[in-house]
Amino acid sequence: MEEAVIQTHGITKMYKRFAAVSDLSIQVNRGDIYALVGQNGAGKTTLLKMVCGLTPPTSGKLALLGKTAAGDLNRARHHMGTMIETPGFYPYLSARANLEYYRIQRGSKDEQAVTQALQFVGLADTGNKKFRSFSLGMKQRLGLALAVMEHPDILVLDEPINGLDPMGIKEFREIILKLNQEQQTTILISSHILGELSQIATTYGFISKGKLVEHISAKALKEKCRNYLLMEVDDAATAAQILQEQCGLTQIETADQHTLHISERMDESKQFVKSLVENNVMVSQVYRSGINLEDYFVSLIGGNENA
Amino acid sequence: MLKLIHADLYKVFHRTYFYILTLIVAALSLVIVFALHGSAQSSKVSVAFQFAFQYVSLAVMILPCLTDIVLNEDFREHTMKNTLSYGTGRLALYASKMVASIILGVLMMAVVLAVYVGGSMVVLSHDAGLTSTFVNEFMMRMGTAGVVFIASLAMASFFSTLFHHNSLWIVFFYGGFFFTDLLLKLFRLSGAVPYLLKSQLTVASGQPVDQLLKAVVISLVTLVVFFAAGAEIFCKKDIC
Repeated sequence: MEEAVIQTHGITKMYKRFAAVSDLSIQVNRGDIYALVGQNGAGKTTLLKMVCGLTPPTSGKLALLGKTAAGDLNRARHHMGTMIETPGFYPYLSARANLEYYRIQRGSKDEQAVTQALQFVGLADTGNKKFRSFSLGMKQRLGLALAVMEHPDILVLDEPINGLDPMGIKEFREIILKLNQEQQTTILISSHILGELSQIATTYGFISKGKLVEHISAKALKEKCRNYLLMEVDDAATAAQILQEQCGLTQIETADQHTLHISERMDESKQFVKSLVENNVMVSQVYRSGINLEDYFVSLIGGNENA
Repeated sequence: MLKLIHADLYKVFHRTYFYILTLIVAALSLVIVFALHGSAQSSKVSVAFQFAFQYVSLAVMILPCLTDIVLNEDFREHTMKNTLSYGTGRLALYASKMVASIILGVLMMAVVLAVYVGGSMVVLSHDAGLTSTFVNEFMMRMGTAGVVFIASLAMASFFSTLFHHNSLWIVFFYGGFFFTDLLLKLFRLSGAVPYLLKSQLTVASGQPVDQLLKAVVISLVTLVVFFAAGAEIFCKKDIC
């Protein structure tokens, strides 16, 4: 049975009469890379802030590593590394001094922790350069360095790739995958850059207007978002049998009495049509179809709001 | 909590701000010594000791600087979230900030006093008024003023937490410390004036020594009230 490391049960956050998060229940299992997807203002950051203890929920329950009591939650957060919104550090301190501040604050006895964290994110050579002089990419890296410094079991990352260039995004992705695969770190990551999430996520939670719209595994989402060849025929069942026997197709789905979805060898549509016609099956239309992640997301949310 | 205090002191001692602030205040105290030296009537150590209390309320002006570099800066630079998301308790964090600012205040006060007293002993003439009784009383009054300053730090921390989004907290602190007596008199509540922190500073400066204990108690009560109020707000605040 999968172990839940983060659970919310009907969690709600109200700001006066506005529900930033409404009756939201998610479960992040150990080893997951759970992608929280939603447009701007959907409630992703508010949810993550509640998970991190920065914002108290108005109602509902939060459990971290199976713990729900306030004191236990704080102790559970010792196993959590976080990066919420823009990283906050002291502008007059160097990268090393900033991390050293938190190492002292957390009572860590590992004097190499700071050096290792800086090396991990590629900031070991910044010397005495002050944080105020860092580029956005360097600031994001330092935020990640702080998050991983204590070798946490859980990472909570809120839009960590915002403002990064393509090279920086690639490096960030590689770091996340490395942490997940080599150190079995569970990761809860929010973003509205769907293309990037699709390369790393194992599970998705789609959020809109403070509510969870869908919870789906990466595998199931890939199935829903795959491209296929759509054939409209007079007898779909017969046509499927012919294509299986004569063309050796295995990935055929009968959508309805007159429609086939073919998910392999889509460049050989002429061959398929020929086989069907030779066997007296009428083909009225053949075209490529399917839905990409963005379209799927928009269809969930309903509309063309900017993701 | 010791780790939290240690970290804040590490941060403060790794920047020049605190050193420069202490240097400036110490330099100003030396200016006062030399100014006294310039007057034949005032060029005495005992006069310098008495003169110190005329300026002791000015020390309250410096307190927001200490609160700013320990507490308000964390709001401004959004570093509080790093600490709280690690599971650090809010009450412990708020208390540690108070203690860190108190430690810094005591350090600064010690340096400035050392410079002022040392400078007075060197520059000014020693007179018969400088008796051990006089010195003891001076230290008692300074100690009382110190308690008032600590309570003032709690007040500054309260306003800083309440108005952390902008610098209005400084205005409320100064207004609260220096002008509450006027407001109370305006609303015919003059009976409360003796319980204000500003009044305790007046007691420390020149009232009979037997009044000092009462001033300390009132200051401590004020400290507790503002600390509790500030902590309550801090524990419920959304941190970003």
